[in-house]
Amino acid sequence: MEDNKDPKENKRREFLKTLGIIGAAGASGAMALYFGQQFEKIKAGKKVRLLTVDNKVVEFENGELKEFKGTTEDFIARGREGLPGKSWVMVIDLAKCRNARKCISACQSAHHLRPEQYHINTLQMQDSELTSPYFMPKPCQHCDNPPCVSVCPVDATFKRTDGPVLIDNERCIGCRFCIAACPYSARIFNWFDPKDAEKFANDPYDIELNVPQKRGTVSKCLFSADRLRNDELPYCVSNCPNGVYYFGDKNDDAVTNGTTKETVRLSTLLKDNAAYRLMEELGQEPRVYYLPPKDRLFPFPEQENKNEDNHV
Amino acid sequence: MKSSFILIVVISLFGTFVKAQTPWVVPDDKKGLLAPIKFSDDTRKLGLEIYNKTCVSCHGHPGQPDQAKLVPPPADPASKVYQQNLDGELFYKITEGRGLMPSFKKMLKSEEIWNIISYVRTFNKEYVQKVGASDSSSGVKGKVTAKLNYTVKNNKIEVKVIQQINKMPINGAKLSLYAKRNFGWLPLDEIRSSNSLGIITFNYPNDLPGDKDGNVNVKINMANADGTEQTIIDTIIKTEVKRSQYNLLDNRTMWNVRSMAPIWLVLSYCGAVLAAWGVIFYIIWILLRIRKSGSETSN
Repeated sequence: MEDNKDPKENKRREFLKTLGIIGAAGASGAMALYFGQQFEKIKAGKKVRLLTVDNKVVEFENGELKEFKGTTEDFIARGREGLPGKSWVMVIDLAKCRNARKCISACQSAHHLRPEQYHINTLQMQDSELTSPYFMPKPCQHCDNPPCVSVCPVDATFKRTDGPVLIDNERCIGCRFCIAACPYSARIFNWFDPKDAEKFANDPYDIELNVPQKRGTVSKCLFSADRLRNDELPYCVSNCPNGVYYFGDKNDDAVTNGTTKETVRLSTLLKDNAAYRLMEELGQEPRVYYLPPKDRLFPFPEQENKNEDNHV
Repeated sequence: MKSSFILIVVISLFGTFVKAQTPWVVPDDKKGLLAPIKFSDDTRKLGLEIYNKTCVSCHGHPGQPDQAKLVPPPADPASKVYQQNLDGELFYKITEGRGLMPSFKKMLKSEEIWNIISYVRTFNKEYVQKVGASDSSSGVKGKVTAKLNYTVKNNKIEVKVIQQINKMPINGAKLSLYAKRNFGWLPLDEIRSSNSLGIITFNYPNDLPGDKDGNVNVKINMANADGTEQTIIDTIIKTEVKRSQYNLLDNRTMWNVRSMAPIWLVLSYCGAVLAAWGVIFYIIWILLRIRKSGSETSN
């Protein structure tokens, strides 16, 4: 019996030994292959993500180290949550707008928009024959009761707890129901490849900036949610040379002028200037307030200076 | 006829608008103000950066005819008319503003404005800088300490300002009160002067929301002689007005998001779908039975 047992045990031991050797060889081989592959990637100029000794994630690309900002998934998870305790509102003083269009250019360059695409546009208004014409900047109104969100069949566009209505291009199927539902015509559709499509093709998608834009999806004004995260005023607000825009937190009861950086009480500003909202009767509770174009700082330009092409 | 009348009205309005632009007179006591710093390549470089951020959109690039088309036209900093301004006059015009030219008092610090002036002076080859005395920038000489006292009951903020060295109260110091908001400081009361005991009482609004515990970050600024301000107190006071913690997405049904849909809607929708499928399958079952019984009778 004992004689019979020994060879079996020996066989098992030998088998385990060889298995161990094969396993160790396999693991080290796999590691070698993995690091070899990483090295090949670096050589080929592909992106590799590394952790530095001080626990920062960096990206290595084309022989250069770059700060790693985050993946598309991170941005989407972060962007779906509103900034706690905030309630963003915008006030537009029509008396100060002279159609400088700096808000538009800043917005278009931030969101990689083509020149004919607008998240914000200044419209030329004249309410009736005898009333005075004026310029009216019109961004998305970021309604508290947004019909665009209710009609989206795929939960791509959504309302955030701090006010802005954003859109997730990773989910958008391009059905354009939201464009049809919006009474303010605030949304645009990417019919063609976006501006500099190849240049930003490999960048992670930032839902708060809606960049890189994608063909066949809807884009819209985002209240510059990426800037708000860093306690900065939106692109349009901070680039206006004429002090048209006020922006702030409704819970603070204060808004700050983007040009002069003057902070005023929101309730007082709205009350003293008889502020109004667009299409109040629809009950959508927009977040953009307008101050009437009273005591204008400049005369309305003559016909030849009107720059008609730019008004869609 | 009508259009020509409107044109005449517009032109006459336009005329009055241009006429209304009287020369910009700077008060005599502000004219002689000099920069407390010596202009150098560093200040010029910083000035250029600030100029490109805040001035270039209207004043264009100095020496180039790319100023914004406004009425009245913004001056080209390289022009003779512009350079005839004394340093103090430029400083006053930038800080105070007039008409379309905004006031930069709240936006830029006094050093930053001097940096801009040092940059625009590079377009005047005859310019020689006179440096002012360094203590002229402060209305009150020497260092200042201040104490703040807030009483919730009558919503008053009492401030006492004293000289740091000899503990003497300062008479006539001009102070202003601000509260921190998300993007800047909100002025709360008018600018007030201290009395002979160095005491100033500000009215604090009874409806200004603090954070969720009612805390508000307030600061007291003291006016300098050059029109800028320096902060002497920056502290947190506890008020009774708390921030409303209303969640926008509560109490609202957005039917495109399943988690937000009310239960009656989910149930009735699922019920309707099941009922429709049930009817279809029932009809198919009946059809099959008819076919089966038909084939049985023919056999």
